[in-house]
Amino acid sequence: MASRYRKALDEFGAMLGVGWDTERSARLAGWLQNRDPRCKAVAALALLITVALVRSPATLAVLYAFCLFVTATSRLSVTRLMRRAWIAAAVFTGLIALPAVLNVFTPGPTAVQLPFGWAVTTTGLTTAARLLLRALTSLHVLWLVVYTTPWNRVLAALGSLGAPAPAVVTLGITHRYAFLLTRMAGEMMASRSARTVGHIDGARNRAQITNAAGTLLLHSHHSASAVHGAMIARGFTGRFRSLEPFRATWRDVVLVLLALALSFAAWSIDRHAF
Amino acid sequence: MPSNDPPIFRARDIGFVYPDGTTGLNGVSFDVPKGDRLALLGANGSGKSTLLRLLSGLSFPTTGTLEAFGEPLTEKSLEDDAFSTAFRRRVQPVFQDADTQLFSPTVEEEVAFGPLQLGDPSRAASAVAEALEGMSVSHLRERAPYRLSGGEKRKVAFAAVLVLNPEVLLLDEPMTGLDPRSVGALLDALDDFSSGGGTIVVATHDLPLLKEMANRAIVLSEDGRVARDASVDDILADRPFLESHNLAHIHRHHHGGEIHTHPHEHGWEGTMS
Amino acid sequence: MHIPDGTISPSTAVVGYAAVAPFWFIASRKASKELKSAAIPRLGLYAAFSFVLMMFNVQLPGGTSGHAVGGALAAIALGPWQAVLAVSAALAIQAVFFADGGILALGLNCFIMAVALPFSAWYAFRLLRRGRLPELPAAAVAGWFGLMIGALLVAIALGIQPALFRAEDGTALYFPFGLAVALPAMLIPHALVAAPIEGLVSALVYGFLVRSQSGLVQDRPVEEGRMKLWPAWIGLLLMILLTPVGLLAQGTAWGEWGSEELEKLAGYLPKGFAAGQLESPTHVAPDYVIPGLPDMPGYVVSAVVGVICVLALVWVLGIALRERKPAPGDS
Repeated sequence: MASRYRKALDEFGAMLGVGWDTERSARLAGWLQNRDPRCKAVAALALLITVALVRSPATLAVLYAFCLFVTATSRLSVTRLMRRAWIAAAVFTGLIALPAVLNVFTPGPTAVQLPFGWAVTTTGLTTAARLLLRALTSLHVLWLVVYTTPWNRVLAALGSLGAPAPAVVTLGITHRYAFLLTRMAGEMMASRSARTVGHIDGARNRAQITNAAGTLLLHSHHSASAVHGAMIARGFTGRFRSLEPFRATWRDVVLVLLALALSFAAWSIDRHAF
Repeated sequence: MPSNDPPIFRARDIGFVYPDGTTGLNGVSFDVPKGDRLALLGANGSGKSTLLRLLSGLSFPTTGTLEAFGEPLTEKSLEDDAFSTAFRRRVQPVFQDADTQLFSPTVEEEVAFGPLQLGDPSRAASAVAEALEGMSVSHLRERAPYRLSGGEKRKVAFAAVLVLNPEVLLLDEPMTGLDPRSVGALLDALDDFSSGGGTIVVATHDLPLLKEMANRAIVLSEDGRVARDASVDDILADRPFLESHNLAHIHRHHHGGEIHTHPHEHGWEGTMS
Repeated sequence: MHIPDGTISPSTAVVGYAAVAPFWFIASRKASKELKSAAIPRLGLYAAFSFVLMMFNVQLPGGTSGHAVGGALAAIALGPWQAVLAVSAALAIQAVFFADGGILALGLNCFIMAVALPFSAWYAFRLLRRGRLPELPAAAVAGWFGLMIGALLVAIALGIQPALFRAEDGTALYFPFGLAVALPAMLIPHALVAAPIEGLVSALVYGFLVRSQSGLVQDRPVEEGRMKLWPAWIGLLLMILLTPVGLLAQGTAWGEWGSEELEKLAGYLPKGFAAGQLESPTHVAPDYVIPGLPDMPGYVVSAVVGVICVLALVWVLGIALRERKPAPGDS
């Protein structure tokens, strides 16, 4: 049992290494990085809604290509983000999209005949393509914001947009300690298997894992309380503040307008052409 | 120098019990006048860190009263934003574990945190630059704090605290794990702070550095009581007292072919006294 | 159980946000006094624990993913309102950094896993404790129950998509499987694997934390006397509103077998519904917003019958679990 957990943790650790690297890309000198996070959020929201409303895979593909283009222009690694998005879309949307190609779920003209009376239908392919492209494009739009905005600025932006302080604070602390916990969990599992010789029966195993989980909680709590204390000592009362105040310039307004225009264009073209 | 101002801290009969029931502090009473350089001495587990947390307003005594600047320092009184802002501007802790003290993505943001929360945000940038300069860490401003060496982390932590121009510094084992140069830099910083009128309370069990940092010491016994409250000179001269309170030790020494024992401390220069 | 973007319509997403927003604000208001206290790092801790727990997920064909949440543990240890914040934070981090769960879908995901799950588990825990069940078994059952409620809600939210949102060529615009697939796909694996894990985690970790006297559990004695039941009524109302929609799936153009499946699954629908009582709508408008529900006279009747049945069940449970007070004059 433990080895399965450890393997899962290793995988997540690898993913985490990828997941927490946004700080680096957020500090590069790209044009998106310099935009006001609040305007980026509004622009992204408009695009996300559009992606959800658009029906034709062709329109979605165009939107996706546009995202890739924007990625390249802002000093982000297109290949890295593409790979991440494809993997995530495959994992989380793949099993939803794949069975939908079959005539059992989506009747329609046959594209590929399969044994046992099953077939891949053209309508099924459309449905699957739609789902996958939506997943890909949504992720990419999201990451255009996430990879170009330092996390502290995100929290400050949320606060200035009116999000309640406890929600923002919890988000901040969770972000920090999710990373710590997973790393500590991996280390505990590693050291535990290093100290274990032979086979442990199920009940002892579960007890050990539970104790490990509990101890992990206590360790992390100790750290979390200490950091919280340090923040309180320096005057923290719930609002995250940035050295650079948020200032929306004309460039940011243009960004929002462009996003809205693109959204409207995509939606109306999609509506009329398909 | 005697002063007519009210004491910075007034502790009367403080007791502290941990959540699991063990006693941390018992009947602790003392005053900290302005400009004092006070050391809290005691072996591990004697409650030094806990007492510092109480003085920082991060934990609160189970029994007894604690006053800061003449006002009661309680959970309730700190709920008032005006009082807590004023208190936090004046009293700053420096924790033993630098990693918990540094939680921002860059050194610059770390040092800016205090001024942004407590001070004038528009002046924050210049205050940060000054503080970084003062601790000679300006070259680290874009670095991530968790990637720094022990000494650098400690200096950044100091900068993050000194940038607020506090009146009181509460330090928990500030020199642990530091190389000699870093220790020297920090001692100088503390000296500047003190001669500028600041008050220092430092928890330590490191005797050799004691005379550099403090002129008065409160020794806590292992059951959390005040064993002695006297000048550093007096305490350091009292060997039996030091041994019985686990502040100096006896162990076997090998000199050439001879083996003998005598009480001593190890200086960080590697000499024995 | 995370719902990805693209599998629910924007209108469903809006409903999700509308449903969760009041809970977010109330939970925040309750927590705002604690900002300077140790409650916040403790909250973050449970959030991070929930985060890690949810990372261990398995994709379920016909549904989304199966995993434990840790929301029941947070609700039992800290109270349901803090659990709302904790699990929401975990879900937000997963959506933003790990693509697990969509952003448009975040409101709905939070409503299901950060509101419905913790509150259900918490009510179950308190009911069971009033019924004199010891803490650990009560936590286990409550955890199982809370997670099942979550799985059920996800299955319903997804399963009604194809009935409500279709393109002109009849294909599903969002989640392509109806209730007949979504319900068993989500409920069975969760009932057999994820929910027992949630129960186990809730019981064992809660027990550990209480034993270790770490201050990580909020001290709340199980009060005698009346619990505030109005939130349960609202939950009930919501469930009632949701169930007739399930019959819309009966009218889907594809999957004649769908209605047979639904009859087999009659256990998930209130007993008041007679099969075929409702005329399934023959047109589902291919529109961008939820079409106004067609006029269904049968709906009202079935809903009322359904409510009566559920209330009867609750009343019986209440009697069974009530503590017996000695009547005056008893020896």
